Amino acid sequence: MVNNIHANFLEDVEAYRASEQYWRDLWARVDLDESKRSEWFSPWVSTGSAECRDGNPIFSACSRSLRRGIRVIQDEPESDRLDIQVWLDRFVAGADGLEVDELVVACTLSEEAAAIALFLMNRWAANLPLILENSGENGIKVRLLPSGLLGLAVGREPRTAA
Amino acid sequence: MEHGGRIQVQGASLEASRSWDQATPLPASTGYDYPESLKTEIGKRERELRQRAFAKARLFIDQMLVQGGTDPSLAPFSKSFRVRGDDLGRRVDIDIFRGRAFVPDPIGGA
Repeated sequence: MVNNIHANFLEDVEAYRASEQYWRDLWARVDLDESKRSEWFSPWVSTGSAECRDGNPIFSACSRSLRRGIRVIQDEPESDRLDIQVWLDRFVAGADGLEVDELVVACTLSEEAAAIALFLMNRWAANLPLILENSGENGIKVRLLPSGLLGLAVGREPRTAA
Repeated sequence: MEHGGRIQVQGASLEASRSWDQATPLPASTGYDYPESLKTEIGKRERELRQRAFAKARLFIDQMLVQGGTDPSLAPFSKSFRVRGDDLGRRVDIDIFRGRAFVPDPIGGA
């Protein structure tokens, strides 16, 4: 069971802004020195229009030098269970056709989901390999284990993005 | 070309897409047609599992159409509509690489 944060963010503009700020603050906690952080810019991708506040994405960042991007999608809660899915994708980053590998985190906002996202962001932003234990082709499922530890769900074959 | 993007279905060992790369903005009618043809392509089971994801993708196209299309100054961008709680990463993506999409159909044209 988790405590959903800003659960009404799709109905309440202030809650939406607070969610955006939550993710910006989380990104600020990613362990990067100033020179490395300056390689990243945020936001990277938008929701499609200034009027579209659907949380898709709620946060994004990109490093052109690393050719890596991060996209966070926040969904409205449907229960008090941990809800987070993560996958790797490839996306064209700009008009010049530069392709980047992106880490996509789709979740409802809770402290537990944010902790998983922060862990993944730290590795991704530091250009470390990210091994996702895949339970599917392009996605993983993350579960809160009975022990209280966070588990990246078991899968058949790990997928690595170098 | 000035306007480009794709709509794709991913996950569960499935990858199907419809893309465009053209001189004029993608009309919303074509934007609606692409997911419909993808639904046919992926079969009943996968279509049903992705029902809500397809509905959300359609809602996004609805929203953009009302606004006269996506804002080209905000491209590129990507929207992913996941199947909640799915272990196999099922989702529907709308990727806009450049230009404008989901604009009203030209008067007198399709």
